[in-house]
Amino acid sequence: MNQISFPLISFLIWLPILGGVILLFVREDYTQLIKLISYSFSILVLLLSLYLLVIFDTSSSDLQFQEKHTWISSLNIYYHLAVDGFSVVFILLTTVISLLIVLFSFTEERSQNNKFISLFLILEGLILGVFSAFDSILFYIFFEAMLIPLFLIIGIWGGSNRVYATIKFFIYTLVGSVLMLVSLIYLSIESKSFFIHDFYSLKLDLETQIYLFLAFLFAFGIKIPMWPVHTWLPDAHVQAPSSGSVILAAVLLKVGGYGMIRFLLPITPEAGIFLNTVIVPLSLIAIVYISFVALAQTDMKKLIAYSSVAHMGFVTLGIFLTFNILVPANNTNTEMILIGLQGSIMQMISHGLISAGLFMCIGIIYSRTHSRSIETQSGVGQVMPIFSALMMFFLLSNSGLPGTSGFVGEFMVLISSIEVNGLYAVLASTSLVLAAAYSLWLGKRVLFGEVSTDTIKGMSNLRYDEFWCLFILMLLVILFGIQPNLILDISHASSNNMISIILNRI
Amino acid sequence: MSYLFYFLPEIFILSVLSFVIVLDLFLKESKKNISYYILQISLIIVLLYLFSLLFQKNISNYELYDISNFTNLFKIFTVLLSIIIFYYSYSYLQRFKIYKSEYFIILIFGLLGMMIMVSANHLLILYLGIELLSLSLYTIIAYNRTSVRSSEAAVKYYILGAMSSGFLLFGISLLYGITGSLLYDEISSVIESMNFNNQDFSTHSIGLIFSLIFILISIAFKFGAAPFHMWIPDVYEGSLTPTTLMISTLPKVAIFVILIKLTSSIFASLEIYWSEMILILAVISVLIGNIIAISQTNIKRMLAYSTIANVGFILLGIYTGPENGYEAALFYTITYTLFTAAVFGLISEINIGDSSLEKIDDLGGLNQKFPLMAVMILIVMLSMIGIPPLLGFYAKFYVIQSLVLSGSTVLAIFAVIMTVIGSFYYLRVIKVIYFDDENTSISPSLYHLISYVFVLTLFLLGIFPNLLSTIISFAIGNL
Repeated sequence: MNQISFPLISFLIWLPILGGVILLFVREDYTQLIKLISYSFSILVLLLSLYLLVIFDTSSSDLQFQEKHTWISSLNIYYHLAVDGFSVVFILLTTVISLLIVLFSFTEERSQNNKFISLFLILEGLILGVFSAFDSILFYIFFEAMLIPLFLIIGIWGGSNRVYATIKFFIYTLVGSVLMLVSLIYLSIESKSFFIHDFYSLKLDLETQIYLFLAFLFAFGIKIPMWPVHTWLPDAHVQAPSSGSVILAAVLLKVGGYGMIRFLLPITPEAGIFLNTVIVPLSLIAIVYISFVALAQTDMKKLIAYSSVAHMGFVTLGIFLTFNILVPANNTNTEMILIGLQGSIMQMISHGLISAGLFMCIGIIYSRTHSRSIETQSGVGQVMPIFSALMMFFLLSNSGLPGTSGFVGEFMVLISSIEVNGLYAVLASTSLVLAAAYSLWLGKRVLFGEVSTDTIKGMSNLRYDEFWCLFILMLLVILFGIQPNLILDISHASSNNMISIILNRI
Repeated sequence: MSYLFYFLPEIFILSVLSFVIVLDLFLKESKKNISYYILQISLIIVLLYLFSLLFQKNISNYELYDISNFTNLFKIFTVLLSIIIFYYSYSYLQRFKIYKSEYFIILIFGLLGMMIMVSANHLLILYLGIELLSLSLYTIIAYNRTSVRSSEAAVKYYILGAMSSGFLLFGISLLYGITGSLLYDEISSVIESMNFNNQDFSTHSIGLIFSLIFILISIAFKFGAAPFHMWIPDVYEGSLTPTTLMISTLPKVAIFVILIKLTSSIFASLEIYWSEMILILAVISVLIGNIIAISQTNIKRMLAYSTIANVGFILLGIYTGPENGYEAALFYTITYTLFTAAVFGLISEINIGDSSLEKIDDLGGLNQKFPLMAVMILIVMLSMIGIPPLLGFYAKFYVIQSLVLSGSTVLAIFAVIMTVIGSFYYLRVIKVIYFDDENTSISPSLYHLISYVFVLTLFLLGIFPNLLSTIISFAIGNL
């Protein structure tokens, strides 16, 4: 075990929160000072997370950099932070995206900018907390506290129907998480501890497992989101300001996937097999049906929001397929299942980068034309060529173009699903066609063609900060597309360990 | 005379009160606030004395009057909160130029009543305390005598309250008839020796169950548990905001203490009966409170229904029994009380034009004008929903944990789902404050330093809840 005295993870969590609190006390017209503070904090956090990556031992699946202190002694709750392979991957995603969001947030004019950025920094800290908490109640606290900043971001700076969207978002997520709270309490009473890894060795009968499974599925399924509890997502996306959409799609949805891997897989595998015929179709519906829904959208943000739900369908598919290693009759190859699980993680990271890019692109168009309509706008490419090239790149990677990271995750999940059931693979692979259809059609209608309105004609060119945000994302998408092992190696040991934990449960 | 020592804080408060009543007659109109200061200082003295008692060992117990560390902690809490409440009330009354020293004199009589009722080890002393509290509440509700609503609320509360006192007396007399005593200990040992069981339908046992029902109804009424909750919305709405602040906080703690004292002593062997009754009260309260609150537009009425829902949660904690339930329920009660005090304190500091805040919508856009005030209301509201890392979360957590521990997982799920339903009306307040257009006539008073300190303390308590939970375990351990 790698015990160091420097509380690296605590710094990761509390630095951005500290930065956010400081920003609250800065006057909103001191733009330079706000920039200085927010840049320095988010760059510092990014550097810390890179340092974490460097000294992280990828060959081990143990918890590293543990910090464990008694917090609430009467309830036996600990302030217990640590990282394993899964955590590190998502921590890096969060810190990179957060820095870009801070960068991007200065491209738009808004009132009370200091509070806006401050909420994002606080949100970043809380998300990092979710990814590194190993006391289940601490996890829950971060998980739920995360709601508040985004609730305010959408509610204060959102579009015209923001109140409806943000309250829907809040209540939806709250329903899921309170059920999870009951399950966590139940598990803690059974295992006499709130440490997540203690839950893994519990012997639970099938009925209990099913209830727990449903509660966790509800909590994380809403967050990720799965069909049919995805309806809050399009509303929230459409009403949220661009930066809010970016963090929502790029990072917050991943909390759902992370939670499934952390809780659903190892704690309730038998229930997973039992309900396999129910949950896998849910993922397939998300992939196929939601792709069709995306095709019919006339609002750019809504289209990308639905495409997110479809892409998350791949993630849940990869996770749920893991349960099949437990069915001896299927004689499934454990290696293949590992590929599926790793594919889910890859897909989450890749979707995080691509959707961030797409929502930024839409934000850039919206900031100039104040419209997100697909039908009335066209010919952006003639006015903003560099921007259009970048946006087209993100659209292509969204449809899973080989060579971009979008391809790798989907491909891995597909391989794994062929191993389990050919029908799953056939249905899931239709999404590759559908994704190409809605992505490219969006590009064709908005970017190409004749310039449709005077507002588009008058669009100002891409600014440097906007360009850099998109360019960095593009580089990362290509990098992980060509060299996916950069991500997969980090989580490999942990995924392997997860599979053996599941196998040991039976 | 040595037993007078047990009553020292009460005697001191009573003497100061008598002195102030007389003194007040001789003060000029402009100097009347001297009475307020004298009362506040005497409360601080009592507080210090009570603190010193905590560290005293070998306090022998007097059979009629209980001065254990448990009641002592309760008194410290009430006196401390009274000081804060009086501060809010004073600034409110001054602002609206309706200050009269009697307001505080009556409130301190109520405080005295509460101190007596929690210390009582004898049913008649308990009755005396409850009546002293109730009478001062009837009076204080009618303080704003020019308002029709206020008078209506007072009369309604008075009639219903008198009836519930009658119930209490009837229950007490039944108990006396059966057991021949009014002392808690004696009654409980007599009942224990009767070897109660489910199949026993003798006159004695039926009489006992009846007395339990009567006493429980009376307590449920004072507590504001549905279906005995009808007076709460009217009283909350009709009274002045500082009065509501008082009514919604301290008496709840006192009644809660009575409830756990009675259920853990006199009625300890009747647990099979009272736990079911309390369960019914709890479920109805949570349901009615949360659902009706959604449609309220008056902030005081909304908080009244939210009180009913919270009382339901407290009762759910009591339902799970003495082992872990009481601790959970006490934690919940204290948290509820602190946050209700904070929210009514904040409301009492916001003026809409020349009047005090009534409608939720009047808070529109508070964030743009007074961001700090808005953040404080945000914290309080989120805590009431039960969002971590605020104190309200741990309160809910405790209750849910005790429910799961006692095997009632279904109730736990019911409780959390009602929490989600309840979140809606708190969210609406946040929505109005943060997302709505600005209401130009809002003007908070200038004296809200105490609110900052108070809310900040509550926020820190949420981050380090160990402090509160340790004190509460200590208190329950000394019950």
